Amino acid sequence: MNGALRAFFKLRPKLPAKMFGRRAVLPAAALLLLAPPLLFFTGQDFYLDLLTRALILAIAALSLNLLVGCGGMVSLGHAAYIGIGAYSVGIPAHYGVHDGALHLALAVSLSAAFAFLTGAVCLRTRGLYFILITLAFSQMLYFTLVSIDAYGADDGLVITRRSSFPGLQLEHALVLYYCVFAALALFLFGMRRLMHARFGRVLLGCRHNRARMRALGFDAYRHQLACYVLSGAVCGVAGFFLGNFTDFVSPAMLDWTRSAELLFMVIIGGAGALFGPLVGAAVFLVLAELLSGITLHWHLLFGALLIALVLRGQLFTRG
Amino acid sequence: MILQVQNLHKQFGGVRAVRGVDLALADKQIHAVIGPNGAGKSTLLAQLAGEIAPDRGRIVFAGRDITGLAAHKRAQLGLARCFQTADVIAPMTLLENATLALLAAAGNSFNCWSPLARDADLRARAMQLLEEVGLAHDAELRAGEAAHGVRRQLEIAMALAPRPKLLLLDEPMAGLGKSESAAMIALLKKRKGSAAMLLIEHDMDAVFALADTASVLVDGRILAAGSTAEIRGNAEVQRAYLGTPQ
Repeated sequence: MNGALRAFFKLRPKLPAKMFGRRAVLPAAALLLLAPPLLFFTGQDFYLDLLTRALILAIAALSLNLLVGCGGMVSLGHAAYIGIGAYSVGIPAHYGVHDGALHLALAVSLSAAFAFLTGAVCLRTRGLYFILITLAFSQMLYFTLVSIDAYGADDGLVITRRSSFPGLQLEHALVLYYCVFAALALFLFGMRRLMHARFGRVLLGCRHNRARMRALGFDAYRHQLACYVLSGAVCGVAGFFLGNFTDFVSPAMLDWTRSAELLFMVIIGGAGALFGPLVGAAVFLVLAELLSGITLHWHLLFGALLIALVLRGQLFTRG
Repeated sequence: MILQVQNLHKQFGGVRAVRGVDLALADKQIHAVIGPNGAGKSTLLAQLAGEIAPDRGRIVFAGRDITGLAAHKRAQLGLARCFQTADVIAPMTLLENATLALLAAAGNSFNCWSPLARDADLRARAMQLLEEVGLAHDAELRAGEAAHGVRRQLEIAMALAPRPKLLLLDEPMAGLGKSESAAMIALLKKRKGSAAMLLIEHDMDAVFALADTASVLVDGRILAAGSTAEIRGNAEVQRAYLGTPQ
């Protein structure tokens, strides 16, 4: 046991995405593309749901990875954007408006606006203060939603009809899944472009040496704020999907523990690694499922495993 | 005059780090600020670069009052600086560092789409920048893994990339070996005439080899200022700082 543990921690640090290798990307994509119809038509709805949820959370974790991995900004308030995205579906639906384009536009624009307003303040601080102030802003939103009785307060809202697009019904589990899949693929591609483009390189520079970047003439604050807004907007899309997927929105979606879970996914997958959030979200959900099947006190085991994974994630995390 | 500093003050709690400093630096000249540890040299430089706001006083750069201007805006006006710790972006290669330095002037730093590494023009210019300081053969080396002397040279190259009007140098010889120091002096000498430089340095050989004029800073005040020859001969300066005649 001791030897196994030691071997576990002494593994050569590699980025998980590299650990699985580039060769794994195509088979993984093929699996994610082909498995759902099989699951659906064999009646394995549970696994299709798990897969859909994993991909939605992967989008959210990807947006946080943009913040943490590229920008070096560790936020503990990212679930706020999931909440904004989900309520962008829930509130209009409550009034009988089911237009998907409107929902999506609301999710993106409100998330971006919230990110802009709060980020402008958060980014005046660094490190621990930044973490705490992002947490404070998300809690403000949480308690605001808890206090609005018209939208169900603590109990939230049931979404009786999912967002509808012309010719596209998210009611169907497979349609929803493929929409999520397409969005994730799009964001992964965009993230990859961004990381290698000027913006990504400047962000990385600011992450590692802000003073040097400022002395070179870069407005570090504006670049980081742009990153913050972009990240919030992408996470809003994840919220849009999550609201549709669960047919339900509630303040619990933006509880700070949800933010911490997203952070776990990013760290498990390796901050800054392109496919890290996908790996992190999958590992997180699968572990939770497996452990909760073994014992009622699975949180204890889960916590211990998370600590181990984070310790290894720390080895993984690289510039 | 490229730089004029009038009556600059900075106090940290009870410590008066800089008290009433006046400086004037002519175009393309090298001015050295020497003084014992804790005299306020680095604080003075940080105020000029815009990292620390002065309590009182005025900084005029290239005819413009920049006293309240943010650090990155000063850099855009042509005020470059090197840090005491040879600050480069450690996880990036030398070439990537040089590219980043050129990017500030090239603009469009919000581009999220075009791969930077495929910008042939920028890459060629970055390579040329490295060649000028003799680092081209190490272009693919990660800056964090490079020797201290290499990082120093890289930092100077990065600071000079946007062709600044004034370069602030915080102890560029610190931590360098004898041959590295000689190379650094040669590098700065070569660049003399393309930019004015304000040099903080403890290495007196370097100061006398490079500077045209010098000020002696003791306890946050200018004790003496003049040509390097005058400073070298100033008895008061010798007592306060230089110790034995060089």
